[in-house]
Amino acid sequence: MQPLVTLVIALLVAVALPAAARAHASLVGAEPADGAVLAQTPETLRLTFNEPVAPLVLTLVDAAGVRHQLAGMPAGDGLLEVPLPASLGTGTHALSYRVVSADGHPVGGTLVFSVGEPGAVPAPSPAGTGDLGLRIAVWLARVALSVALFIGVGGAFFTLWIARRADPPAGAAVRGALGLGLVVLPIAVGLQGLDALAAPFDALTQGATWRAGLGSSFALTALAAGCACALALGALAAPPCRGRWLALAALLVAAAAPALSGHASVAAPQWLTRPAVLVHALGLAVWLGALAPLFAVLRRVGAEQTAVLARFSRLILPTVGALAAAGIVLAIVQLGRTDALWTTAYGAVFIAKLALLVPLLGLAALNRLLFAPRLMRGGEEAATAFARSVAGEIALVLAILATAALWRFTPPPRALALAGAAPATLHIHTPAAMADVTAVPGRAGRLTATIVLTGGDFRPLAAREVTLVLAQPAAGIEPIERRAHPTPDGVWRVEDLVVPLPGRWRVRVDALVGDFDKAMLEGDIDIRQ
Amino acid sequence: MSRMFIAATAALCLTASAAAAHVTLETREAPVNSTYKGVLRIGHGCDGAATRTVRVRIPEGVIAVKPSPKAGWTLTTTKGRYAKTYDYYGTPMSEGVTEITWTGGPLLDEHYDEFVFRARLTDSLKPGSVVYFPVVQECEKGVHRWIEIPAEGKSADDYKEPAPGVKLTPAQATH
Repeated sequence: MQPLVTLVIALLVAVALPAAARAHASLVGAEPADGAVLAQTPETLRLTFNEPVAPLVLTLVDAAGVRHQLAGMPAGDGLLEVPLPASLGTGTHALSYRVVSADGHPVGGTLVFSVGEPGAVPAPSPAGTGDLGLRIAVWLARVALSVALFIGVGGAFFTLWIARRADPPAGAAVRGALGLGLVVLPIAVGLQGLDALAAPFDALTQGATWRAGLGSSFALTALAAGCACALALGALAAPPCRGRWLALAALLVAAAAPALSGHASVAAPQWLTRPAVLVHALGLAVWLGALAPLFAVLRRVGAEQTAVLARFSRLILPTVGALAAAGIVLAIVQLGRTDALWTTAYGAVFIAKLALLVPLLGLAALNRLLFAPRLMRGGEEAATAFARSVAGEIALVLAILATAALWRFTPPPRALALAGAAPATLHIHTPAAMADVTAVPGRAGRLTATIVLTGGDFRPLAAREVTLVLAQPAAGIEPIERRAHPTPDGVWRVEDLVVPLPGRWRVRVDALVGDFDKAMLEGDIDIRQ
Repeated sequence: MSRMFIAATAALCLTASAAAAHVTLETREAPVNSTYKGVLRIGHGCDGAATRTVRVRIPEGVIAVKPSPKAGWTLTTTKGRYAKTYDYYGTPMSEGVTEITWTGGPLLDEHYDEFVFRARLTDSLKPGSVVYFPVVQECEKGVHRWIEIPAEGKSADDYKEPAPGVKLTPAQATH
C-alpha cells in the first residue's frame, strides 16, 4: 500500500505543480503559415508555441484524403518540428495537431497549407460503390449491350438495306449479337439495381434489387434495346419487303435507347444533347453494323460485291460525318473545360477512346479511298486487303465499345462541376440569434463562406467580430479558425477558407455582439467531395 | 485500495480542471443570499503581451459590488440600473455597479496578479446554476475575452476562452 500512496502523491504533485503556473500553450507561429500556398512541399513543418509542448497526436490529411500519423520533435523554446512525408503531392493538406503544454492541458488546432494550387482536391474516384467484381459485371453488360445495339441491330439494317441478300452475310454473327443482347439485358437491369443499392451479388435474388433496377432510367434504355433486338431478329426472319421496314424500325429504336438514360442524355441543354445522343447512336449502328457483314461480303467473291460496296460507300461518308459531329457536340458539353481532359477520369476515358478512334478512322479512310475504288474497278486482289482492313476495324470497334462502356463509372466533368459548384448551407437557430452559413462551392477545397446573422427578433444582428470555426471531431480533425470580414451589405465573409476533407463538419459561428457578449452558434454542414 | 484509487482519480480530475482554467475566480462555489469575495486570477497575458486592462461585467442578480483598489492600477466602475429592485438588508436597491475596470500595470505575461471585488449574491439566483462574470483582458497587443458561456450540455472545458463562473449552492440558514 505504501508505494502506491507515494506514487499517487508523486503523481498529484507532478500534475499540480505546473498547473500552478496556469499558463496555456498557444500557437504563436507556424511555418508554413496557416493557409499558405507553397511552390514545393516543405521537408519540415515548424509550429511555435509560447511555451514548451509535447506532441500528443499529429495527423496529416493529405490532398488525396489519406491520413498520416506524424511524429513531432520538440526542438526547445516551444518549437515543434514535424517532418513531412516526402511523397506529399500538390493540393491542399491539413495538419491537425494536439499537443500538451506544461500544465497538462491539451491544446489543439488545424493548420491548412497548399502545395502548388490551393484546393486542388483530387478527382473523385469513379462513382459506383460496388466491389470490383460487380463493376466488371456492369461493364461487361454495357459492352454486350453496345455489341447488341450497334453490331446486331446495325448488322440487320445493313443486311436488309445494303446487302439486300436472301442469305445474309455474317448472319450468324448478327443473330448472335442480337441474341446476346436479349440474354444480357435483363441481367444488366439486375446489375444496375445491385449497383444502385451497393449490394453484393447474392442480392440478385432479392426483389428490392430488381425494383431498384427497374426504377432507374436505365430500365427504359434496356427495354428499348430489347425491343430493338427483337425487332431486328424479326426483320431477319421476315420476308425481305417487310423485313426492311422492321430493320429500319429496329435501327431507330436502337438509336433511341441510349438517349433514354445515361450521363449524356441528362446533360443540359436537353434539346441539344438528346438528339445528339440519338444521332451518335444512329451513326454508330449504321457504321459498326456494316463491318461484320461487309467482311463476309468481301470474302465471297461475286458480282454483287461491287453493288453492295457502292451502296455502302454512298452511305458511309454522311454517316460518319454526322456521328463525328454529334460526338464532338457531346464531348464539348460533357467535358466543359479543356483541362478536364487530363484531370478527370472521364477525360482519361475520352482520350483512350480518341486514341483508338484515330487508327479506326485511318482504316476507314483507307477502305473508302483506296480499297473500295480499286475493288469496284475490278481489282479482285484488293478484296483480301480490304477484308483484312475491315477485320482490323472490327477489332478496334470492339476496343472502343469496351472503352466507352467505362464512362458508366466516370461522372462527366460537366456533372462534377455542376455538383461541386452548388453551395453547402447551414441554418443555425437559437432563441437569441440565428446564423445562415453558405459555403460556395460546397465541396472540399478552397471555398468562400458567407455568414448572415439575425437576432432572435428576426432583425439583422450587428456584430463586432465574427469567427468561423470548423472541426471534424469524429475524424480527429482539430478546429480550423478563420476570422470573417464584414461587407457593406452586412454579410460576413471568409475568403481564405480551405476545407481539406469532405464530410460532415462541425461549424461554430462566434459573433461578438458586445464587449462581454458572444453569441456562439453551432451546427453541422455537409461538404461534398 | 480501491477507495484510495477513486480519491486519487478525483484529486487528479480536480487538479486537471483547475489547470484547464484561464482567467478564473478563486472561489468557485458559493451559496446564494451571501456576500461573495471574488478574486480574479490573471495567470498570463495575451500570447506573451503584458496585460493593461482587466474588465469584469457584473451579472444580473449580483448587487452591492465593491471593487478593491490596487496600487498601480486606476479603478473605475460603471453604474447602471438592475433589471429589478433587490432587498439589501432591508434597503431596496435598484441600481449599482455593473462593470469594473482596472487599468494600469503593465502586468507582464510571466507575472501573476489578482483583482478583487466584493458582492452580494442575491437569492434571486438559482442554486445549482452557475453565475458567470465575463472578463475582458486587454493587453499591450491583443485582447482575451473570457466571455464564453457554455451552452447547455457543455462545460467551460469545451471552450477556449470561457467566462469565470461561480457554482451556486442553496442559501445557508441565517443566524
